[in-house]
Amino acid sequence: MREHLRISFSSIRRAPFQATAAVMVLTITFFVSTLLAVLTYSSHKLLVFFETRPQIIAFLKNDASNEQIDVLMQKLKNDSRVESVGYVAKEEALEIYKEATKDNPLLAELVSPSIFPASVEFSVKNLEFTEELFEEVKNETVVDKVSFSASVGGENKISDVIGRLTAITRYVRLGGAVVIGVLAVTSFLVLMVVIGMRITMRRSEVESLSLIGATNWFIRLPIVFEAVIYSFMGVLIGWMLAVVLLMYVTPSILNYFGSVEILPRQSVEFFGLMGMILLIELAVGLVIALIGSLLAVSRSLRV
Amino acid sequence: MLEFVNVTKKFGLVKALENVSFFIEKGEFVFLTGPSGAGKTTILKMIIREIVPTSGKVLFNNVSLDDLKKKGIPYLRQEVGVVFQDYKLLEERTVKENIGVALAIKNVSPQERDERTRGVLTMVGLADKEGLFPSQLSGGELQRAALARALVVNPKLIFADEPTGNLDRETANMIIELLAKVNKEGKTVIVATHDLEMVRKYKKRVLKLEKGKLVQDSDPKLAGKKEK
Repeated sequence: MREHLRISFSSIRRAPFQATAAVMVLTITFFVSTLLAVLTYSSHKLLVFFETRPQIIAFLKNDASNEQIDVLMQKLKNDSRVESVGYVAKEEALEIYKEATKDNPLLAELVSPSIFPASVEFSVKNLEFTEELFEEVKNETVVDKVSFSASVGGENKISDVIGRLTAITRYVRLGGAVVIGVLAVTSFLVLMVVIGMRITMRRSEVESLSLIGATNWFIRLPIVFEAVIYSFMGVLIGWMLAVVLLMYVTPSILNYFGSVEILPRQSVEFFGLMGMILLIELAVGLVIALIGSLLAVSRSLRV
Repeated sequence: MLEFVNVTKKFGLVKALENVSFFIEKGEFVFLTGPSGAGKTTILKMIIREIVPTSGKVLFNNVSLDDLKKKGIPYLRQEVGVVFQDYKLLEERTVKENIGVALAIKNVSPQERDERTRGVLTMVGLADKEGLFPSQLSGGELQRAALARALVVNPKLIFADEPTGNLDRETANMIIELLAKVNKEGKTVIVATHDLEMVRKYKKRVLKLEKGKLVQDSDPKLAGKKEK
């Protein structure tokens, strides 16, 4: 084994440009794969967030009294289908509006708290309760109208929101799979070409080894190891670059998404996720290297 | 040990060997002579199953090489130590590594590999050149390195193809002396050569080929039969 590895490393040293080309292509593949894997994870987290925490907002009539509001809130708190309930006063609504329009302060100056209705926001324990609760709350006398807080593209129903998020997640996964597939096939072909060139360079050595009694595996193993070395180097470099990039952008992303934890906040969890991605990529890299090199060997060698 | 039975080999319309038969016993030293193109290398290629006869049979240790499966070819080659005309040393490896690789093929442990390599290099007089690459060796040294690689695996049969071809008389004698020494230790040795002076000097059995035909076999037993 050590002998085969030594031959592989010596072969890599002999043609450093081919080795660099192979490693670079594999690095790009696994860099993009790592980012797409994280994107898939994040979109899934976003979907789960909306699936499990749908917010319904019941806008209250202007003439609703405090007692009526308390009754409604108590009723919702006692409802087993409801996860949590919160009250947003007119002033708080104005603050939310100001925050949302902070890029254009003129808009905030033009309004007063009186034009914003007070509201009761609540989340349901299970998505299937949303529609019925939506209808029930709409019929309350103090409620003016009911809406959803989560809206990706102007949807009116939480199921539409979930449907849209599911579609986005599906597209991310599908698009990611296509991109990864194309890159994987490219890496596979580059690996085959490089290994084929290597075999051509070593043809006389292969012939000599064969004539002195080397078995096919004795001849093939250093070539297969060489491909595995390229692949693992590509995985490790690509993964490390992606980790550095993610470590750099994660605080901004988390800040942007607020309470939606689309990436792990804790270092342990973050590196746990990245470690899992690395293991999967190493396995995929190994498969690419094995199949690519064995195909190249069987095409180029007739020993 | 080695038997050719009515072996014919054609390459297209060209007959490289025609109806060649001979038997070589274990421990024999045989010169295979003939001019270039007589078929000496074709015989070597058949012994290591690089090519197969068009007709006839080649038997090694009573096993027909035609019946040998592809998987078995490496193991046959491990039994035959070949000194190739063009040495076939690995250019990117040192003398020591070239010899060690023959043992690595047979799964010999690195420690034993080192011991045996050192022993055989001392035997062929290349102990001080073990760290050099083939490109740094002279013709005689290359020949000895190739011989060392053939000997180190302790083969049953040694085939040296024109081992003295490009060497001066002194170095050529040294190579043949080494082969004779190995033969005395019980190994079967076949030397393909067109150096008739050498053949006459050593007075061993001679198989003479001409245009693919065996025209002379100086086997004493055959001579005895003829006398009778």
